[in-house]
Amino acid sequence: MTALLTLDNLSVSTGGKTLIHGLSFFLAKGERLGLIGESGSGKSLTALAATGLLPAGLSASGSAILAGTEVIGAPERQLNTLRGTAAAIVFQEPLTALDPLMRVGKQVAEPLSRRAKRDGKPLHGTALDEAVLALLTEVALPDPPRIARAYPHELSGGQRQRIAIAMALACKPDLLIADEPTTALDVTTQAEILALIDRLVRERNMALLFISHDLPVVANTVSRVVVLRQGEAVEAGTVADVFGNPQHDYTKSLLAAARSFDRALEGTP
Amino acid sequence: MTLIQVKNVDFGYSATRQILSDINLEIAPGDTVGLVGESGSGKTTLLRLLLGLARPDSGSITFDGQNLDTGNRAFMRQFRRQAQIVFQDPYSSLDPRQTIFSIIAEPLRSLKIDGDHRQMVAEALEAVGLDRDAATRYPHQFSGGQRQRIAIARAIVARPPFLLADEAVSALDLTTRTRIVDLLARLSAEMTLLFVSHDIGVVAALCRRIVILEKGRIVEQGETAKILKNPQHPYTQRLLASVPRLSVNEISS
Repeated sequence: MTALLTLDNLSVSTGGKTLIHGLSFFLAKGERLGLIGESGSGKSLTALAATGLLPAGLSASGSAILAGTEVIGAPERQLNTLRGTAAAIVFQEPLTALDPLMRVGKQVAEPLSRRAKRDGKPLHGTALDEAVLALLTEVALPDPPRIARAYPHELSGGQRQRIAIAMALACKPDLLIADEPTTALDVTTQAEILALIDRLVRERNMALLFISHDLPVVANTVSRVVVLRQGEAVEAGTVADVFGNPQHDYTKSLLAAARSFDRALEGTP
Repeated sequence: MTLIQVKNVDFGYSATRQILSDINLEIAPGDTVGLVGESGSGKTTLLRLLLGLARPDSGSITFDGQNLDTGNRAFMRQFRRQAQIVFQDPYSSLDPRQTIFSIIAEPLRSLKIDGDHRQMVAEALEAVGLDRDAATRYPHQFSGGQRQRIAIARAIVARPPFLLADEAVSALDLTTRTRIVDLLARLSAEMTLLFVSHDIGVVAALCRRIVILEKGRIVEQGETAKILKNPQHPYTQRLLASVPRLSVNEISS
């Protein structure tokens, strides 16, 4: 197995405070890994550090190798090429991730034409428009020509998240990072978006780094998980092992909480 | 006996768009009722009507047999002592510049309730599982779960018989959420609770009755156990099928 992303003893700190302590894991091509943790556990920071997107004031040490390139300490120029070919991110809140003043078709066209240029086959005019519509169709948006002309505020939350996913796909990444992609959505919409991510990852043979605090969602989406608590990995393994036979007390308490709502739904409290 | 009765209520913020249609609902004293719906279903609007913050376009709402007449100031003054609310986001619902004492005692002041406010606040803090010393501190010194406990303490300090909660646990982490649900379950033994949420799992864990709202209409209501076991309306069925569960995965893997 070739590793697409390898974190080795990655730490992130700010002003003497360590937010992530020596985190190590790897993700192979086409593999699905879940990062589980509650707020402040450092799961989003891990994704940002792995793609060189840490905000100013935060510094990373250790190693994060993405598609063969060391991200920690790499110059911005190099990272810019890496992001968008090796990895693309879908964020939690599609309303803030999209530009409110730009028609969504144009927003999808940007990464599409950038990627096409990099591949040496630039797209313009009608060819680009058609590629946008094809992508909107791929993320199962109804009436793509109408959606392409719409502004983000004219779309529903689920539709906006589909646009954000289309933009990530436009980069043709080897690794899709999804940071709480369904947390802001209704449950019925969540089910649709999860099914969409599942299909796309399979069809395009992408690796998936899925970040979430929602255990049942993670359990149904990925095959391996890392459980984070206050910046430290407390447990890692396959979903069946970690959820079926948790070792750490923290994992046990998370599972007990998730199970209590599960049981309530089954009517067997 | 009913505490709240909603009869044939229609409501819209503008004449062209109706938000709630033909709402019929009864809440018995001491009951715990979960109002479930997705965004835009009208949950919060219905809550606003029940709090007297908006007036139905047609139909009627009665509280304890009396018409919930937002124009009747004497009635409203008395009603406000009876019903209190907990909001979703404890970061924005607590004034950052007031001490916890001042925040929790606010209903006592505004409702002009006599008595030893220090003692009442201390009792409310104790009821939600916080230390009495918390009273002298400020909201930023507390975690999200603790803040939600403070918001609950504020809601129960005047000992209202009717507590409303609007997505009160949705912004909390999973383990914190179970603790707040346990707290609400404990408190609901002594009061009537209307718990509004998009999360049917939390409602199932907390509420005896359930009301399902879709696009401003009640599509199904009844005992939680019955609805979970045998949902009648296609929307309820879809809602239940959409909830991701751990158990499903464990069986398949």
